[in-house]
Amino acid sequence: MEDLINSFLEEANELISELEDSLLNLEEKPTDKESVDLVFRVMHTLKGSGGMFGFNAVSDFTHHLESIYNQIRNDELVLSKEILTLTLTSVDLIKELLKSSGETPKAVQLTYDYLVNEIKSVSNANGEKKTSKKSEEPIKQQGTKSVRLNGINTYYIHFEPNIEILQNGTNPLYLIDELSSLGDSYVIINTQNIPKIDELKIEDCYVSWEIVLATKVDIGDIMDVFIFVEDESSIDIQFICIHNLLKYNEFIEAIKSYEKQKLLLNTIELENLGKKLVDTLDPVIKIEANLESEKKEDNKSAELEKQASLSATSKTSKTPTTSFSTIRVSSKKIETLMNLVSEMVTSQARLNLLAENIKRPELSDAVENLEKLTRELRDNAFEISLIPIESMLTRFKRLIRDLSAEVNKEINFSAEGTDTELDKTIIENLSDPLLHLFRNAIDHGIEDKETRIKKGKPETGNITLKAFYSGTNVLIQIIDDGRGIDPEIIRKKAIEKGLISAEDKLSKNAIIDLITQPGFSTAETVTGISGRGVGMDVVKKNIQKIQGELHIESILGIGTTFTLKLPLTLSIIDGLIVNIKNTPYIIPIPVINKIRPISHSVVEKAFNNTLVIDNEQLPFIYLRQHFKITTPAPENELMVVVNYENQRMGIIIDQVEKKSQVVVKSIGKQFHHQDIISGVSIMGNGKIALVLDTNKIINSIDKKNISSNK
Amino acid sequence: MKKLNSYLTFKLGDETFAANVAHVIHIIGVPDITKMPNSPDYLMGVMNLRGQVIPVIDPHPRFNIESQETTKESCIVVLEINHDKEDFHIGCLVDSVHQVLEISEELILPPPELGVQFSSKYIEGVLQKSDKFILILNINQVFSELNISLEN
Repeated sequence: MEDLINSFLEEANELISELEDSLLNLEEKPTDKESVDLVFRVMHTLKGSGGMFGFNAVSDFTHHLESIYNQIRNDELVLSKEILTLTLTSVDLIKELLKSSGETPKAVQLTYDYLVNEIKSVSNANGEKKTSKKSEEPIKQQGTKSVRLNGINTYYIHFEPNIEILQNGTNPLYLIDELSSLGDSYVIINTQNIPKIDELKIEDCYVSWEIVLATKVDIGDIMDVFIFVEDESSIDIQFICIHNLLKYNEFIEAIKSYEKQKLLLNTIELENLGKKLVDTLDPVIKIEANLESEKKEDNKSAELEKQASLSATSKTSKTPTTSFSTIRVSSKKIETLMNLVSEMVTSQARLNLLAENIKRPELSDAVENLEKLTRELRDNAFEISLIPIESMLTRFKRLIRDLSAEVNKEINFSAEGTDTELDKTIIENLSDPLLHLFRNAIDHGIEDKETRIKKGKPETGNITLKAFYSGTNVLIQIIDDGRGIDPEIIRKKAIEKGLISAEDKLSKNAIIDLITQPGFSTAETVTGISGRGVGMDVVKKNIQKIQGELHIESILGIGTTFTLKLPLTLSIIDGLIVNIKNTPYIIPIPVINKIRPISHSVVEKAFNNTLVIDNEQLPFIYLRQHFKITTPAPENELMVVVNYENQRMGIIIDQVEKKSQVVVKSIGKQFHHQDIISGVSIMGNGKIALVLDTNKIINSIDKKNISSNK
Repeated sequence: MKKLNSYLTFKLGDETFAANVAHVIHIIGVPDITKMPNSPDYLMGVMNLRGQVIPVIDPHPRFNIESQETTKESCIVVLEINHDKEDFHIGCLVDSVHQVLEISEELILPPPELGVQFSSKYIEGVLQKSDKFILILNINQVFSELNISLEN
């Protein structure tokens, strides 16, 4: 059961982000019928499955919301900005409710009650309007028409479900039942598509239905029966005639003859038959019927056109759903695949070594071929774990919408290159820093309306997210056309805070980079959005955590661009394999500045683990000492100088082996006590090398320095 | 019906131990083991088992037996351990592996109350075979405790 609940929550979160997406869409295009339908459908699903898994609060709540959107769908209510805002707040509440199954926290309960009232008042206000309209309607109608034929019309419905419909748990028979409950019906089942028994797949649905339905409801309501299957099934609904034709034996006989011949019903013939039958009715009704049918004729041609366009769109959208353009795989399975692939890469390296030694052309040929395949397999497998940036977009849109309303600025958000893909772990760690950058852009970057007009800029501010590949990196830029960063203000502030001294001469870029220093915030007033002093430094740290870099460019008065440079994946890195007492370690190449020989005696004599190298004071870590290795060290050691932020430090090792592309695996839970090793990698000879986490090494030194200063 | 259980017997020093085969995944020769720096003495390091990185431990200190030189008889027994509802694999260095015994449950005696050398909580039971005793290990207990101490 717990598994089921988890998968429900997963699905619910997906649904909610879909919901937010379409709500934001609706904000731009309030009349977009498709989005309204989608919103309604998502709510309906949430209501149903929420109740099923014990999230009764969610289910009750969405029930209220759903009714609003039902009214909008039926054109009884106009989608206003207020409703959208209300819905978005409600979505937040649903998120909260999903977090807490069972007991609802008091604060959440209060919002819940408040929102339910709001929602009710919206739908009720409309309800009153509706009833008043309704009471007018009959009078009007009575004025124009004397008699109505009980409002019953006969329709022809052809329903051919997707062959895979049973697999998502839909039972088409329920739909037929639901249709039949709308009025009199005659149902014909078409079974000629059923294959021979040895070709029959029991999980497929081969039948289609034809239904002649005499009902009071209109086409829209009939369509509603199919709301959850309309995307994947072909549904054709046609108006045949006013009046309940199923009351006439002749009509039923006609249908039956078609049924016997196993032919599809010919709607035109049925229509003619219907007209003939209506002709025999008593004259008053006849005239009425003719009037009505003329009117319906007009309606029908419009309806037909609509139908045609509908079926055209449904056809285009049909192809991808039937052929499963995407499948859902648990990340665990992908992890296993990656492990296998990286193991294969390592075995390949061994095989290459072997083939080189044996020197048999046939073997070399085969090995070479296999190597090509391995490489391709590796690239493909790594691609699988990549996720497009688009997956984060909804959250950003939402944030920008809410915040810009809060600070009363009009902001236009656009995104480019959202299909750029990044490793799953990177995406997960990226959204917080990006959200922060957006917050900054809205709060500090974009000016308010008056200022913008004064400066001759367009009233609406622009924020753009741009993502693109650059070599083995992905660049993400956040560009705003706001006021830009004033280096003078930053400089003053930095001096005030003691980050630099007044005499320091810094380049413009260096000054702007100061905002990423801890404890730096220039917002003159602290707003609810940003400016609490924890800001850019955290962003920078988080980006560095995923081995990325942050660059800032700004032109005063024109705007600011934040550029994030990120690696494609964290699991393959270029590493330098080094050796300490015959144990291989890996240092990531991007952080290495230089390698320099150093004699052991110098290292031993160094005071406070600091050496002056090339006129630069360098703190260093002596790994032999850190690892408590007691065997005597070689006379000539090496110092690898690594960069971290603006710091440099040395790592003393025995010797360098080679440079190599390595696949980093996470270190087992058993080794969580390891402070400076971030992972392991299996090398070509099957040995395991330990990956050094240079950031952690530097941090541990920092801490030591602080404690020794105390 | 008598309940039969299969046990793998192995030696640590001069003592014979037995482990329920349900826990035994592989028995392999001693591969290259990469030492983890700053680790307690019973943690030998990590090894590569077909692409899986597995921690290797030396159980000798746990039973107050002196660690032996690695010979060609030495083996790594890969065990599956359940700890905190999670299964994981751990390699265990033994001095030699002997046989798989099928033992009916009644023949297993309760562990001696006053274990001189070994804490009785690691011993599930004792089996007498001719004039020798075989100690049946409570695998989860022995190794999950090791695991906890590693995590801390």
